[in-house]
Amino acid sequence: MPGRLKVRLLAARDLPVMDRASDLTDAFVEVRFAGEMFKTEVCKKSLNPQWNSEWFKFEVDDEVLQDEPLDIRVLDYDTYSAHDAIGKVYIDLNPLLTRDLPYVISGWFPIYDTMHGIRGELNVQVKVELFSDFNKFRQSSCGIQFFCTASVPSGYRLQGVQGFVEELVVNDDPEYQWIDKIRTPRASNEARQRLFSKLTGGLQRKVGVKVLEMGGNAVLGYTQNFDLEGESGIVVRAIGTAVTIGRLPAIPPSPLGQSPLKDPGFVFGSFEDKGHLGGAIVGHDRGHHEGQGHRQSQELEHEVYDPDAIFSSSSPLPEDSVSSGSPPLPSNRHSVSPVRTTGAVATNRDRRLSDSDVGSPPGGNSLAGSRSSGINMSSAPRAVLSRATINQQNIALLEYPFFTMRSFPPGFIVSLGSMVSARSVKLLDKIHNPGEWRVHIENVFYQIHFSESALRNQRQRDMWWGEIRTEIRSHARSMNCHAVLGYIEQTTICGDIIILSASGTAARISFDLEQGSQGTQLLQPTVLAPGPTVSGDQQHSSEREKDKEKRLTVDIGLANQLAQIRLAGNIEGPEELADNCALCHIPYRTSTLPFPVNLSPCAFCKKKKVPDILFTTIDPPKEIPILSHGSLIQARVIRSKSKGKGSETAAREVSDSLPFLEYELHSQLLNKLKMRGLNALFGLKIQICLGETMIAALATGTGVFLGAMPQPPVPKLSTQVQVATAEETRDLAELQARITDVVQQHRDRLNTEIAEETGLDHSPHGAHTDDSDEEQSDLEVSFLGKDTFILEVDDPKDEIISLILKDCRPPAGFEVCNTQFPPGVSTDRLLGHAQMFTQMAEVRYLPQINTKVEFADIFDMLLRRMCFKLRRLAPCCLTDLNFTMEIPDEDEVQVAVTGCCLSLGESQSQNATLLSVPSASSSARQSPRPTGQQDEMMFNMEVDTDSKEPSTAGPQAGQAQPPSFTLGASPVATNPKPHVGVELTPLPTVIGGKIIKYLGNYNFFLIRESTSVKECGGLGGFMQSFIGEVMAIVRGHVAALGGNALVGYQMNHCVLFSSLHKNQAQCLINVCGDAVQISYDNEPVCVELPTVPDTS
Amino acid sequence: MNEVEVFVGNNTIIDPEVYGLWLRGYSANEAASILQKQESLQAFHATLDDLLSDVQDHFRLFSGLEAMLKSPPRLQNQQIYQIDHDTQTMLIEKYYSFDASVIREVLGKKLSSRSRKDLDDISEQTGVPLRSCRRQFDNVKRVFKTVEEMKGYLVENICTHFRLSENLARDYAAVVFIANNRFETGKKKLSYLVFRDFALCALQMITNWSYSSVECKNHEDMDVDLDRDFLLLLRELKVLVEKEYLEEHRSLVLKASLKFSDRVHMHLDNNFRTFSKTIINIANGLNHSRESRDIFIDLYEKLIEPSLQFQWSRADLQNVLTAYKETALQMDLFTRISPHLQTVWERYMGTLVVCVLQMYPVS
Repeated sequence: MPGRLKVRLLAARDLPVMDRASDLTDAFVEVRFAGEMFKTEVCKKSLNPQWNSEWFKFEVDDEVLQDEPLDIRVLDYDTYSAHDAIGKVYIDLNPLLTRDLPYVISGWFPIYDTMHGIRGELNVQVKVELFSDFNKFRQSSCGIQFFCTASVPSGYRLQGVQGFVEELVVNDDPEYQWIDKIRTPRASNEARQRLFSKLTGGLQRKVGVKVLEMGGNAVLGYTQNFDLEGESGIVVRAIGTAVTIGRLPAIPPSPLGQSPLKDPGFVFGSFEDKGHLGGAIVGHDRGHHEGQGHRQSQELEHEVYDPDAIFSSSSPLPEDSVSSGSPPLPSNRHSVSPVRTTGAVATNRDRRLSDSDVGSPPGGNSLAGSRSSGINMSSAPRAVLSRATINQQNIALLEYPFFTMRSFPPGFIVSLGSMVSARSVKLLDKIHNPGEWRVHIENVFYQIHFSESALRNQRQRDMWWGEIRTEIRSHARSMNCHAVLGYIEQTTICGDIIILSASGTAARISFDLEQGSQGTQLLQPTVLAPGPTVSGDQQHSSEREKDKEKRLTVDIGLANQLAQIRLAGNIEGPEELADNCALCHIPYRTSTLPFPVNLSPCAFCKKKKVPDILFTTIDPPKEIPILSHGSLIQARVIRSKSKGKGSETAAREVSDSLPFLEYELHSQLLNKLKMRGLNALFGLKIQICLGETMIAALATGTGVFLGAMPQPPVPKLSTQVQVATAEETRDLAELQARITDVVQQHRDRLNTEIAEETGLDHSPHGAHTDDSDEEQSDLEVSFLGKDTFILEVDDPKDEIISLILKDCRPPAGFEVCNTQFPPGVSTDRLLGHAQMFTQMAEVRYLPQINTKVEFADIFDMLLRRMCFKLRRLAPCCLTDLNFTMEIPDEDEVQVAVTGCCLSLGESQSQNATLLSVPSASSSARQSPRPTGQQDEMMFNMEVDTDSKEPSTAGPQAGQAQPPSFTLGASPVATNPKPHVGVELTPLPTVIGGKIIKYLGNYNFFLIRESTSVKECGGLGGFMQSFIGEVMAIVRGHVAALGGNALVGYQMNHCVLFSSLHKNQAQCLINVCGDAVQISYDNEPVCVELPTVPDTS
Repeated sequence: MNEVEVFVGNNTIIDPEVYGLWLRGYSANEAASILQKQESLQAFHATLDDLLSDVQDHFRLFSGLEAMLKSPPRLQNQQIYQIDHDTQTMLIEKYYSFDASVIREVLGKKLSSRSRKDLDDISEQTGVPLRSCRRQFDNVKRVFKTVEEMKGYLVENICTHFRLSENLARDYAAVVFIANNRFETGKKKLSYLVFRDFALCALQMITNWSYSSVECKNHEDMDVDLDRDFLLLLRELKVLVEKEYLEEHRSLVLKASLKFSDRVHMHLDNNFRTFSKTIINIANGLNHSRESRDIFIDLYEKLIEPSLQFQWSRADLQNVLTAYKETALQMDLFTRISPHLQTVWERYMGTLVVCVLQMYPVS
């Protein structure tokens, strides 16, 4: 399918002064694509030149269109010497290649220079005409939609899941070529940026080809990662989930008239918004090609849909799993698996699982090359599965049953196992054949040259990741889970040591929703108004009855349906709650626990077993019963590492210390969670970071209280050493008292939240709250009882304890979490998208000198400042916080955080119910302990007000709180302004608006360098302006596509190298997201597509 | 311990209070300690360092914005900072706002880099931090340089090129006008006058004496200059001090002044010749740039000082000047001989009366 690319350059504005003498610029533009180049005329002596050029035409293959960015350079004409570069614009053409989108990009693009930042803007129009020329063997994948969004895009429904797709490419890094020694930093940065951009395009195309082969039409949760390995090159990795999606059919707007954001987790919730768009788009986006594949796959599904198959592999009930936990696999794959699956079973929970790799005897699998014996991630398994939408049965046959999404349609998840992770330490080989470097000439179409070493590297990386994925899979199997959700892959590199990590959540899933009765089921939730729940309920059950004969999972399915209905209708009924616990039930059998875990009967159904603690990497499923608000929980661990050893010794040291690191991380998470009285962690992301002198680990998750699982007991101190002196005994008692205090505060708050969540109900669920009441009233007694978890200390001044005690709550008016939507906060309280922010800090840290507490302080500081700097927007909630850590130098720790600030209002629907009861109940709850309250006050005023806040926030706050906040200068929080400009958000949608159209995904890798750091305000000024510029560039590109928001915004890479004595700094940032067009509730829908007068 | 700590939002949100402190010229540390007194950090468990970091973020943002604030239309076009329109207007308006006391000192000075160096004196004198003085000076200079050579209405030009509100643009117009005509305002005798006095006078002159005045037929030249035709016509007013007309005028004025107090009448009776000559000389002097520069001094020394010696009240002076102006119009000279002088007289005297009265010290 060849295509014609047409480019037209209209004008530029606010160009920099390039000629000092005249204070003006003689600008012209060069447009390059696929080796061809066109120039505009020189527009003399103007900072706002107008070219109004003709259409420059390039005739190329679509493959090239996918791979290459359009390369536009703005230059200053110089008669005598070389023309001076003003800056560049790279335009990714992929959004133009997807069907049913406008074939035009038109707008003002920031002109970017790696040494000077943004220097004016360029008005460009780009069109692509694709000629239909169906070629079976084409290597392009136009038409496959890519979504960075880690859930089903709003307005679409999932019709089939093809499974995990991955691809990686290896290339030399221009920064490390010999030519870099003689060229300018600008040339080097530009060579790098161009290469990154090209690799991105190529990688995406290759993934697309795989998806086409599999019969899918889209990739969800698509992420690209850049591993800058230094001497051994660049590795660009992409993972995603291949799916078949279709537009939701248009139906008249529901009586609720809710926008998708009112209930954002519901991917289906938004179809109603399509009402005004008409139904013409249904199924339209699937090309004939994919359409065929889909039809074929559906036939296939019907064939395999026999009860026996389901019985053996898909039953979510552990007790029923008579057959082997791990479904039969092609034996050859077992044999090549480098991982000792048995080792994993014996270890402790998720983090210990990974020990099977790193903890294995030295010289085993930890060093590169030692295991390279012929594992080939062949495409054979893929070929078997190609064109087959996986269903309940053949999920087990998938090579890697991984899903990169973070949230899933209701009913998709049957049961959650636990977080699984795997790591491996490898050595990068440095061998390069200098003869292979080619002289790279500027201004010539840049050739990606696959040197032999690059190809070898590529095979090696494929193999490494293959090992890791196999391990993850086997961990999941050991939990009797057939799928891994929320799957991510990460690396950290230092010198020639690389740590590869993968993590996800083992789960049992069900594809019921995609098959059979999909249509009605999918549509059901939104049609339901709070009133007619019963009818919907009946409809569902009757529908389910029909299916009953062939499906054993029916009761769970039904429960999930009920849960769904309950949530959709926003009805907090005790009966439904009790039924809604299946997700928490353990997927494994009680007889063979994959790791030591305390099981107890489910608090709701009293039949099935639930674990005491649940760690997951996904967002909380809508149907899971969360009783508390979400609370950000972070574990930070640092270990020093000796430097200057040989590579192999160093690698071994790293690999030996990883288990300790992980153990520490895990116990910190666990203790913090229990201190707060919570029992589940969602969105858990662990990042390990390797530096010259230290290894750091950061785990971030959102803790919640799941009603079905038991509440963690109160912590008790214990010392292994005999307490010698009276002083020590006193210290210990003091510490215990402090812990008790903190726990008490957390529990008080938790109880208010629970009361808030459960609303009016006293009886059936009240039993549960009663429990916790008891537990509190005789807290002292419970220390002696069995209900304690033990904090071990050797020394009352132990760092670990102080870390846990220091863990403070966000200030009043703030909710902080790292899941996409705040758990426990009803969606109608989310008023709008107030701000998307990026925070970046570089801290001097030496593991030999600084303490662990100081390391933790870095993050506490970031969180504290984050809230402080957003204080004018309170009440608000900070969601989707994403921390990335780097250790670029011996004594430097860098942390970058992105997040989203949503403004919060008072819950309308809940207020009514809360007014009467919970205020009474909470006061009643507090009344037995009036003295306790006063004690706290004396102990710590802040925390006291903090803990009281939710109780007051219930009914009275409507009058009491907002005034203090609205006094703030910014009215954004209370009164969202008409939306101007482009919103960026990490969330899958913009709160307060609905997505009308997806315009394509963007991935930017930008480099900024400066040799005059002091002059631009120091490192802070440098970073601040660069981050601002990155966002500006993203906005410019989104706007040129006709969009007004970028969802699923992620910053994958942010690293700053600096040497202040040279007044020099360099920073690399990689961001991505999906450009969309949003319509806001209060505004008329204006679908403004860029239109171009066709002059060609 | 932090080398770097930055916080950047997709929407650029300006804290007006911090912006005010920045404009005032405080350093981030100073601003933080001022804010600390106003805001409770306790509620956020925040430290002074946190506040400082927040202030620094804002200050860095402001210095990034400053380049664009220097040409406000650019701020409104740019895409680097996503700022809503109201905030943009606020940013510009506040950036160009000034302390009257500082601008009073800058008035009449040559807007050169040498006078920029003298700003520390002004800073000391007015108590406004030096950095703020510099910004104000630079703003004046920038506005002056931009509109100096432009055709059209001064206020309008300032509005379009700096996107200022009309009131602020008027003030700048006055400053530009005074600077362009290099009117002397710095003499010690004039030191009692505040910026507002000069601004009002200058605006009067712009409306009546410059090329943009309604009566001006020839708009070729710039608004910032005095209408040359008008100045030439002013010369013709000399006839008023020729003996015959002077006597006629004198008697008319004295007749009118019977209504005034005896003291004023007596003063006029004795000094009418000097009084009239002074006024006509000032008019004549406007043709010569050296003399026109001294217009404020002249008005003070030749009109205001004598009146003060006579212990005339402001009302007395107003009465006298009005009578002087009105009676002249009744003379044959204006009604029959050269009626074209009527408008010139009105243009000249109307402005002069307003200026003198504005300048008249309120004791």
